[in-house]
Amino acid sequence: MLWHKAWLETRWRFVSALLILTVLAGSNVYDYLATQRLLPQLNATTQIPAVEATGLAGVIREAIEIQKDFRGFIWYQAFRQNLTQMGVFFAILLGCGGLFSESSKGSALFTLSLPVTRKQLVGARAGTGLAQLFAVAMVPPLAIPLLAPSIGQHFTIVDALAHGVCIFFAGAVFFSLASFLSTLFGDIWRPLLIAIAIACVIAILEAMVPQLGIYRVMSGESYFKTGSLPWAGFLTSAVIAMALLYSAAETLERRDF
Amino acid sequence: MLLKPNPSSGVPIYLQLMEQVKHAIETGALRPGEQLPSIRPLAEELVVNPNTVAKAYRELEHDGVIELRQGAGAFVSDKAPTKKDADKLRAAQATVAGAIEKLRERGVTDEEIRRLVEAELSGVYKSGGPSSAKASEGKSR
Amino acid sequence: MNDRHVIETAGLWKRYDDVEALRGLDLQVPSGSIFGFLGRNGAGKTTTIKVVLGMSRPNRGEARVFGQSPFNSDTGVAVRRRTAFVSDEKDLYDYMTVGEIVAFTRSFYPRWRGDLEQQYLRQFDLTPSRGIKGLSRGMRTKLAMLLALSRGAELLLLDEPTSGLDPSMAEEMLQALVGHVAAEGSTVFFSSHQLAEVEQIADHVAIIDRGQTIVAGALDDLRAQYRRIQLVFEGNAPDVKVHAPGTHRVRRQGRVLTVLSSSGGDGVIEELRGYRPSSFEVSPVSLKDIFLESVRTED
Repeated sequence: MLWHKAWLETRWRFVSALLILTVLAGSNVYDYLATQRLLPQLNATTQIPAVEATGLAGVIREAIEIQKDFRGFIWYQAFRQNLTQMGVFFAILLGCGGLFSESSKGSALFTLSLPVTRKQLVGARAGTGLAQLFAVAMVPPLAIPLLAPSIGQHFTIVDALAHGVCIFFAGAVFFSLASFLSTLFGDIWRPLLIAIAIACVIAILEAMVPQLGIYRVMSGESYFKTGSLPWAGFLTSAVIAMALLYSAAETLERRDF
Repeated sequence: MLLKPNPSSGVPIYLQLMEQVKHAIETGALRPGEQLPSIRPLAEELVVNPNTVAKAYRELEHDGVIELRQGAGAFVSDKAPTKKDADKLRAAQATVAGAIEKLRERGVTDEEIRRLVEAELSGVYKSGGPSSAKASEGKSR
Repeated sequence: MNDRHVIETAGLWKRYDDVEALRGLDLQVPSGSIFGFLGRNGAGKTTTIKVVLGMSRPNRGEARVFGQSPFNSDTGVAVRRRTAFVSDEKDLYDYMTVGEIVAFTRSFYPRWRGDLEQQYLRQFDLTPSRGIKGLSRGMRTKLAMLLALSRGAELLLLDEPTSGLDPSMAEEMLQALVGHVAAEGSTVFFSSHQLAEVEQIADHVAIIDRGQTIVAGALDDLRAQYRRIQLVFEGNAPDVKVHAPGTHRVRRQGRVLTVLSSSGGDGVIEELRGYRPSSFEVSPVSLKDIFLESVRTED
């Protein structure tokens, strides 16, 4: 019943994540209406050939181009921005906690007196968390194909699921990072804040060194632009996540309580 | 029927229980042939270690006060001290009262009397040994 | 290491950062005993229990429970399957209800006793739907005891079982414990500050101080062996070292010399006769006195 315990421990976080991300995705659909109204003006702006778009101007130009149609708008707003940013946050949130942080609440001793190995404890927590992450990654994007017809637009379920998978794999890295940090610090705040700080640093670095690519994987950029899933990115993410979870298990194994 | 023993009195609990059983028999609260409470419920009621109750019962059996019948329980033995022995004890009590009175007259306080009695009973002043001779020498000043 | 002892430790050393919690602790807990574990705050009681359960690894020394190592992954699980633990703080999962934690705990113990579970739910007045978060300390203690006693465990490890409880609830817990031992024959190892309660229900005790065992043995034996000998002298008490075996503590205060002996006191009287005490007396020593004398800081 370790999985059940992990579920009871984290169910409200899970439900919040699911609700907030679904609402975000859904509201992005309706944001497109505003863009639609602005389209005539946008088209006028971008047709001016005079300025050779470079640097920041080029980025803005490209952003506008992409968001002119619904699919592009959704990718830019929902997957590239909102779901990635909030997705990272909730992945971290889901990964925080676990046995060592229980010790600040005292119940760790009760858990440790049970006839289970520490690896089993970590495994159950990680397993439950990853299952929750999977749901949090796959379900909210489905709001888009569900709601798009109400504004006269169209978005395929396959596209939504594909992006969901991208969010899951990249999110797993942040989940595992938070899990690992939770075995180093006994309280609930430091792992959360440090993981968020690391996520921000990675974001900044990625802007300068695009090859880092985790946010690219999360937003499903290659899928959007070329229709092929970032398999290399998936593999790398899986390896990193597994390594972090393994480290978490080993750290916990050695810990004195 | 049996009172909760005092754990801090210095007298082992099993001895206190033995005394209580013997007292109950003398006063007639327990009669020969009657059954005593079983070890488990008694230990639980008095909140003492079951081994302690078991030890008390074993010692009582050894002294012939009770009988432990396999599978049936503990019973007051027919050879247990009876009213005749109660009379003997009453006479003994008179002796003790007299001795205490004498010691008080000599200026020995009640606390000192109690300690002397306990020390004597716990076998510190062993009869015949050099230390006991010195003990009486030491105290007589 | 033999089978008569449920718990055996030899030379346990445990260091947390810069604090040495255990400094060569030896312990033998006989099977079927109610074992009282006494010590000042910070003496190492909780650390000992944690080591025995495999929650902490000692730096040196050995520990065995049921003859097995609690630190090894597999044997540790086997040990804990036969053990029940109640921590000092009695913290449980505040996101569960009484019923949920009972069901959760039950799932780990094949020898769980449903009859005892029902009995204690009634006896302790615990409703399954009640959230753990809102429980008072007393109710949490009762719940923790229920979870411990229903496991069908052969060994109960309790860290200050009655701390924070009013006298009547403390007595209720002791009664449940004694009743359980009487019916099930388990071994109970409990640490406590309440000397009276230890004297009431324990048949063996160990006193530890600064991470080492100072006194250990059957309680009845200790009561029979420990004596306080007080000698009064005409002049100042002589500043002597008492060599009689079993001498624990010698205190000089003016004309009075007090000796604590764990071997009846005869040898002490013999040895000090030559100094011509004007009077002396021998008195039995309560567990509290044994404890205070054993752990007092050097004069």
